[in-house]
Amino acid sequence: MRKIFRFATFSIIIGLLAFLGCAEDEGTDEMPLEIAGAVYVVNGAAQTISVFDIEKSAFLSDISIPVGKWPADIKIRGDFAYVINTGDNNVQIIDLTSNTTAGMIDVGDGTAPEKITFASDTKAYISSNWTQSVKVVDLSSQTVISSIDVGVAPWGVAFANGKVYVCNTGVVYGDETTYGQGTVSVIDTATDSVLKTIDVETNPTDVVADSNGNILVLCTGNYADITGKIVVIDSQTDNASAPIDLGTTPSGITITKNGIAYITSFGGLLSFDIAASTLLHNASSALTDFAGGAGLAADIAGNVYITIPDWTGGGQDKLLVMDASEQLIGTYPAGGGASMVAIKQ
Amino acid sequence: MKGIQKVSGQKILSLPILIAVFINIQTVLAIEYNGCGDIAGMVVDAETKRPIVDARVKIVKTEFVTFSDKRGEFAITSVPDGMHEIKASMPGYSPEVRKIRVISGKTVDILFQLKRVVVSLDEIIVSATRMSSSLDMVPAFASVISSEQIISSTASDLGELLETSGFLQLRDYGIGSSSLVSMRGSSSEQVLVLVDGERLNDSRSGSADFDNIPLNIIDRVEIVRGGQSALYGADAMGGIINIVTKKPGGNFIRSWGRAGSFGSLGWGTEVGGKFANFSGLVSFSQDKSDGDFQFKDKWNRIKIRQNAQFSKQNIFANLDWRPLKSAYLKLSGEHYYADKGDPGPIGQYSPQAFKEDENSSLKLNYEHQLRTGVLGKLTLYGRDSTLHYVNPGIYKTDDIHGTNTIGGEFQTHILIKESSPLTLGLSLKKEDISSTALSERHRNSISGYGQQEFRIDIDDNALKLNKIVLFPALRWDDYTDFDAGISPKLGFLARFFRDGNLTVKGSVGKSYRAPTMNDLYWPEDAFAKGNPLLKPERSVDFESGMSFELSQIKMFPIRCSIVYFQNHFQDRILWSPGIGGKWTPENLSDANISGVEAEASLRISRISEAVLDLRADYTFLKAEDSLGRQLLYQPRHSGNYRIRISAENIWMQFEGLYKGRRYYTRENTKWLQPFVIHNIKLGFGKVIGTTKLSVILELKNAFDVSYQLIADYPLPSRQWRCKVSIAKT
Repeated sequence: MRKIFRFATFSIIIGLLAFLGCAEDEGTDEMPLEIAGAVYVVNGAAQTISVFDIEKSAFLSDISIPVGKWPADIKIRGDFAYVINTGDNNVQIIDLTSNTTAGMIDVGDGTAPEKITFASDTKAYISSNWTQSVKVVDLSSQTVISSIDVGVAPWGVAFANGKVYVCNTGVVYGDETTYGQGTVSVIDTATDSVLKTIDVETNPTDVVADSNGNILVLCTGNYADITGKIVVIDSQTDNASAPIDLGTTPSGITITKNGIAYITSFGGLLSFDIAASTLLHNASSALTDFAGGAGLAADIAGNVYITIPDWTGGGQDKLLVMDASEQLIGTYPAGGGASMVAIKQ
Repeated sequence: MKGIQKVSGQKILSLPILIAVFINIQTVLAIEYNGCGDIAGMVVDAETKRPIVDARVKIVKTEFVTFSDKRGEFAITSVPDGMHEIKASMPGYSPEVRKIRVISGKTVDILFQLKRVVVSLDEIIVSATRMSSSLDMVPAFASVISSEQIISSTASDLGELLETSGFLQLRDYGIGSSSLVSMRGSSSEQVLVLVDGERLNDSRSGSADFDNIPLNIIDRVEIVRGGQSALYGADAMGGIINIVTKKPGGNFIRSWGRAGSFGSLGWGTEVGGKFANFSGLVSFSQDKSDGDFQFKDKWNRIKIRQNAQFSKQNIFANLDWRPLKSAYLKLSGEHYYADKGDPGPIGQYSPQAFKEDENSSLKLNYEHQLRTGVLGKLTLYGRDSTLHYVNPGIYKTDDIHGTNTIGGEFQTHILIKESSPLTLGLSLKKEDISSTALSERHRNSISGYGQQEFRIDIDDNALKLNKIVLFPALRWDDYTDFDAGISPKLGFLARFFRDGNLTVKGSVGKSYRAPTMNDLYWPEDAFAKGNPLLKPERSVDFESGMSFELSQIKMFPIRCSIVYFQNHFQDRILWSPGIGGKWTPENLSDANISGVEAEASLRISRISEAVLDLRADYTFLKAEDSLGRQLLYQPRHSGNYRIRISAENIWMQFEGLYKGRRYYTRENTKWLQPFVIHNIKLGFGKVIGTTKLSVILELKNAFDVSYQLIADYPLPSRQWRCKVSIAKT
């Protein structure tokens, strides 16, 4: 009898411990996803790229691709990733089949390149923050072939409908940083000339295009009394919508296949239904599991990969995976200053 | 003569000495078979007539050596008959040699009256214990850059001079740009820099820029490694660097000119004079450079460094007055102005940026022998420094940062008992900052400190231990804008084998670094804001090691030292993004630092004249954050060497430094490549009557190595220098 009692007690304790253990880890189990592909995470502080295997749901421990100083963007086209190293004034081309550097594009001293977008397999556009211009790059010769003057301190760039949309932040840095009128320059890629300049909100830093030709401009605000906003530009008419106030300072933006835009912020993840032009999660209803997010990208299944950088150098950088139902399904330790994300599928 | 310790050649047991004895077998035989007498006597200070303890007394060209005891007395027995030269020496004093005749069966009495040297010797250090001591008799591991080394340097500023100095990590941003120093894994803000004991670290930024310290004001530089807050307060976590300024030394005039690569030109002159109880010195120097050296950019393209030019002027004056035999007054002042371009890092060049540095200081020292064994020192000082930085580039900046410091310190040395000297001090300081970035900020502080030595003479034949000294020290600091508290330290020292000069020493203590005004008060802007709730960074450090000198090998005296150190940094202040993404400083991180420093020097001399000096040092440094990653710009391995060959009027010196891999990302994913740099110097000196002429030629970076000390800030390739100086006394 005593043995049975001991066994029962022991089993209950073990069961409780197992239950509590599961409860603690709820939502953070590393659940392998049934899709193939890789997530490339730029570790801004470590100046490396880590590769996350989606199917295995794990970082590939033997791969760490060195990048340059102040990496600011990563975009994938075909078998190549293009990494903008702002501090080195170059674009690093990485062959994703071998995870090695295949080439470098010199954007020029003192240009501070920030973001890249592709008009074709042979033509890319790079915003040059310090020269108030966009550099046109011939990808086959890996050289800058021309420069197009745009607005003040250009940052985000996106391509849609034969046009490149360039965020002109209007920010003049210095002893007293001033925020001028934020605008978006529209460049005709056939003539490489500015077709139109559209007024948007304060400090537009990022821009993404959806499959319907909507251009979402993320305006960061002034980090103080002016909060972030989204402005949608119709790439057919190049007219801007009324701004949608996010109520907080956003960081990055991506669009899922379902037409939902997700926006990272310090307080949590925001979401925006593009078709309905409605905020689904605003600052007060943000998905707090993803607080402190920086870069993000969505895969073809609607999963979103979000980086949480630890800029203190404390090694608490993370990659979070959110499924299409907005649940946290994985948390993975990432490299120092994990920030930009790009996916190859 | 009670307590006299009899030491003779027969008592030395170590292998090198046995070899030396074997070599000098004839002398030994003479001792055995000829008649012998004794020598006894006393060593005193020529001025104060007080006994000098531990003075070395040696019969020249023999193995007979002893040391004076606490009454200054000594004795040497069984000395062979005949004429001998006997020499008494003590660091800080001019040695004295006497000729005596020893007669069999008799004792020769002799009184040495040693005179204090006016020019400081490299064996003397003030900053380690706040009083003048022999390097071997302080509880810290320290080194001195002597005036001779400074005079034989072609450098124009202290940063350049420290390039090849051992145990330091220089963070040089290039010609005309900032030059910062760290040691033992510290940051540059954790190294306290003093000028004649007065703090130079800028409370706005936390560090001192060695590029703005001209050499013409410096007599010597004292470097004390390890935490020193118990004596000096804030910022002495990694160690201290004390710059001792020049003192007047009679009537003289000295001028020099300097030329070199990249349009470098400099000249200076100093005049010293003495009248009655007054003596004075005025020194002026000017340096300029185009700074347009070649470097390779990230595309391996050869480029010319633009906007690296500088122009510096400096005037320094010092007036000494001895109104009484027991009193000494010193008034010194300095004005420095520099106009420098700021070329920026590779790729983010700033061709129009410039900065102006202007520093003025005035200082009054008064020392008075209040009574026998009690010396009082009063120091009053004021310093005004301004930095004007302009960058009309993309990040438009036009900032003026002014710092005004006034303060005073009273220090007393009490030597009632010879075996337990006591130092007590009280200091007050007021700092006012007027900055276009920080607006008006103020920091006042009051500090009290004390250190006592407890010297215990031991005559332990078994251990060969003859002296133990304990150095307890305590300092209390009170600041108006943060809580500093009490910094304790306990040092110890044990001396073995008098003739072998084996010293074992170490210490354990606590130190701290003050949060800078930038840390505390950076105004909220788009990207950052300060944190007025910051605490000081704290550290607990320990070191233990030994130094020894094998001076018995007459032709090859060897000096070695090795020390293990450990330092735990707590509450390190790091800037990181907080709420809203704004960068703000917080007490976030710890670091564990440990390592070994080793040094050896060898002099191969021809009888008494040195012909070859060899010196090398090596540092192993494990400076890791709490995740086990090596701290930024801290090499695991580094070292220096110097080979100097000197003849009567000419000398040649080879020197070099090695720096191992230095990481510049916290994650240790990127690093600067290890490098070795060699410099070659050739010097010529000639004395004609009262005029001394010297010429120095130098080839810096002789093998044209491309290297960086800070990522993306290239340093010059091979360059030549020439310095001509003429001095008349």
